[in-house]
Amino acid sequence: MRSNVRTHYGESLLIALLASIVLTQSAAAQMRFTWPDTTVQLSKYSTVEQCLAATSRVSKGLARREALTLWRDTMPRNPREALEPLPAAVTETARRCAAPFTEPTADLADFAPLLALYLYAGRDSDAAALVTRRLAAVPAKDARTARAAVSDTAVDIYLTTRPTRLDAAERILLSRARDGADRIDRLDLYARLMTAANDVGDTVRARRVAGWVVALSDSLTKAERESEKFEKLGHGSGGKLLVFGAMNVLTGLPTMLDSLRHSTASLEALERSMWARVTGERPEALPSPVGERAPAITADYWYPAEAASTPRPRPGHVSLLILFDHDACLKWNSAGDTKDTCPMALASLRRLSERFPTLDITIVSGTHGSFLYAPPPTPTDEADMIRKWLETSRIRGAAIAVSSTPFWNLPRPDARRIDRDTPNATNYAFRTSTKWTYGSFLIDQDGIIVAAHGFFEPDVGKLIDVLMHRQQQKEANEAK
Amino acid sequence: MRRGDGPARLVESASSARILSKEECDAIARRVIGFARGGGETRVRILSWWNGELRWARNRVSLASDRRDIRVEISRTVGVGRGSVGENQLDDASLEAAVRGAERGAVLSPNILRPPPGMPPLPHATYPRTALWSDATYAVTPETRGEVARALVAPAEAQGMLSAGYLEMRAGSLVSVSSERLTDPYAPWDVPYASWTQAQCSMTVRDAQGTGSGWAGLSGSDWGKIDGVALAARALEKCKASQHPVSLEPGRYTVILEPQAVADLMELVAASMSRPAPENSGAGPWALAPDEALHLWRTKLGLKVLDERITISHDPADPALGILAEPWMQPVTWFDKGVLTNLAFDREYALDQLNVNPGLRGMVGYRMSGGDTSIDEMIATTARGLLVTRFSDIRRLDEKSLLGTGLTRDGLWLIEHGKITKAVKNFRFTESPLFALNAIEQLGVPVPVFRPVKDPYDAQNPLTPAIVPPLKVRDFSFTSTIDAI
Repeated sequence: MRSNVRTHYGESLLIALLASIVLTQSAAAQMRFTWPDTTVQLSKYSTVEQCLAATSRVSKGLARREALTLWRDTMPRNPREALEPLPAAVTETARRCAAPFTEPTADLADFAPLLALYLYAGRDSDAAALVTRRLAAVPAKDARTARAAVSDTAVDIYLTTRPTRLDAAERILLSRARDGADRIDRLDLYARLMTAANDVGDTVRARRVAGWVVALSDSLTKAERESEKFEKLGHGSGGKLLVFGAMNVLTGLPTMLDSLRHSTASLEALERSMWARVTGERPEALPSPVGERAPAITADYWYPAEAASTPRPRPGHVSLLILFDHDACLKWNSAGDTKDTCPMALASLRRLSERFPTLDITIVSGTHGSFLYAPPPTPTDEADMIRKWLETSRIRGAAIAVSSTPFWNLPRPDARRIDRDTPNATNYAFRTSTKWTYGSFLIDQDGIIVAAHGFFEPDVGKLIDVLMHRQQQKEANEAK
Repeated sequence: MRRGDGPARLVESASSARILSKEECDAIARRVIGFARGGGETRVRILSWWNGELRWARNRVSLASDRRDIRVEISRTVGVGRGSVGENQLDDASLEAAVRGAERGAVLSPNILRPPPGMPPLPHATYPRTALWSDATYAVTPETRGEVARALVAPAEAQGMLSAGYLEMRAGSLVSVSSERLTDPYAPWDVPYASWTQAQCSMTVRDAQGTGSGWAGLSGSDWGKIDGVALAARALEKCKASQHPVSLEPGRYTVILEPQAVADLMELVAASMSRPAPENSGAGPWALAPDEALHLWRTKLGLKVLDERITISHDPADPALGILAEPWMQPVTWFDKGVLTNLAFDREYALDQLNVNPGLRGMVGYRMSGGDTSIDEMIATTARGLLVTRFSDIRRLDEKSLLGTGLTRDGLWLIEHGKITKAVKNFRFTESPLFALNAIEQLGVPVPVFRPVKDPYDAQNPLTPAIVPPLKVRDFSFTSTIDAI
């Protein structure tokens, strides 16, 4: 009897054990992947660089994790993302790891990484003290240059460490501006601050600083305006465009939209008067196609084919021309991997096409004799490959126009292919030397260019909105 | 990834197969692909290698080894991510674990790889046949190497000299395939199956007092064509002849460069033979001038840049060169009668700039044209000059002219009135190979030289054999003396 009991007990135990193994295996089999323990062992890190690297790893790990669930390339851009706080895990890692590094005893040799670490940790007062101490430690010899280098480093870190510290950056830049910088240097410093504020969506600050830029620009002498230093401002694009940009910021989008509501000619007049105001040149000298009549697009291949029978941009319609280069969007490497670099722009275009169903969209491209990893047998084949790729972006009602790019080859043995400008690139250059192969043009219902952008601007939707309202009002007036 | 029961051995004895055959590679690739779960693409790269070597110094063996290994690199592309894992165990459990690891990596590290729709059809890659395989090399055993080394050391030791040298035989195989293309047609980035052998023998003989040094060496895919005994005799002879050198004033000398010295100098040229740098930024010796109208840099392609007696080319089917096959590889002439006719470029450049499929691999192996003048005749016709065995420690000083500097080594002699009169202490030279190749007086018969291969697929060290002539060059610039022998 006891023996039977033991047997039954043993069988039950065995069954329970087997069941637990089976269940465990089953559960494990269903668990495709368990997130590993990524807790950072901060006790191992003793230097600032190690702490910064650990913080960076946590940050990158979170970003990768987010990438599993979010396809940011096709999501609307959050213009104020840079002002949002870091994830708590990143801040906490930096805070714990940075605890041994205290002000004012931390080694100034670690200035740049320590400043970033303080900011990650949210120790802004320590960061400010560190910057002050570092600036005070600048040797007397060549002090101005050295101080400029230190403050440039600090500003870069303040502007690139999330959340962007515009206040701190502004304090340093203004201090530098007061510290004997000449007027063109000050213009450059203000422009940096204005751009940084604009980039993160701090429009109030951007407009305030833009006012300084314009006021300072007004006070420049003729010699200063004609100096090489002025011409090199704005990363080489020139002081005039820099100040014109400030004038745009100062004027603000609402004012420009008001002008556009009245007419495209009003917007053009506003822009040209701003140009004349800030440069002292004739209004017509503004290097912009705004106000020009949009030339008709020519193409060898139209998709759908019936698009060829209607002039593009279509008269009586608000039109958006997208000029793009598939070589710039699609890349491949020698291992056969492909990577597209502009899905965000195409996704924005899709959203616009859905928001404005009557918007006339034409995507204009050209052949290059190759597509990804193969030379297409004919331009027709290449045009068809471009079409197939673009059509997957599901841009509603878009017409695709592909030109067979004329080209010639250098004499052998060099034999390089030299593309000639397509008629579209030439026509849309207007009187400038800029050959647009990659950009966008917004055109009103009268065929006049309202805006030209590098590729795609977030504010283009607001401009289209105004044009659509204008068209509706016009149609309503005509109906009366 | 080592397990408790030790690594799985590829072969059980030294006499059995040392590298994987095509059938073995295919079987491994199919097993790996079979373990994949969840769709997507699986790429498998299987490299197997064998390396037998023997090194000696001061007449005694200091290293002897016979090693082999396998590397299976598994890449899984699932959705938008790719993960890769390397493995050297071939049992099912290890391979499956590696595949699972690659799949985890694909989930953890999305690379945003998105093949666009309407992909162009894969261009059909054709691989030329090459002769890189030698049964004689593959058959060499550790015992054979020991016997060879004994025969090479003995003459030097018998004469009280110190010999140091290195013998190496290698073989390897590589397969790189995708689950989407297990058989032909392959993509241009696939490697269906390639195998190769390489052998090298080099040695230095010095006298016990350290006043003389001689060197000889040769490399190639076929050990049967390397006469080690002759090399040993040559190194010994050079050592004896180079004892008790005298100092000469640095300056410009007529030099007779033995083939090895020419090959050493040519490394500066070989490393510069590509298109993108001169065309994009005007860098390097082959950029001509910017073309302001076309917004590009013109190159010297099509211009005469070397002595017209110089033609440098390679043919992948040349058995003496043994250049590893790549898709569409064709015979290429780099310099045709002194005219620059080709510069290397990759497939991306080929597609973008030339609208053609194949790239052009760099000047990894080459054959240089020569003449029929023997070194003895060169010496006999030289009133005053130097005979150079080889160069070492060469580095580039100026990228536009390829001006370089380096040292003469292991035998430098003064020639006076048609005869070698004395050994000379080594010099540092400061000279451009382009200047030297435009100041040629006489050319000899091209011969293979010492230019050993590590791994033909190693982008960092892709050297393959070169066949170059001895040259007599005037006004070669030596800028200082050095004490080293």
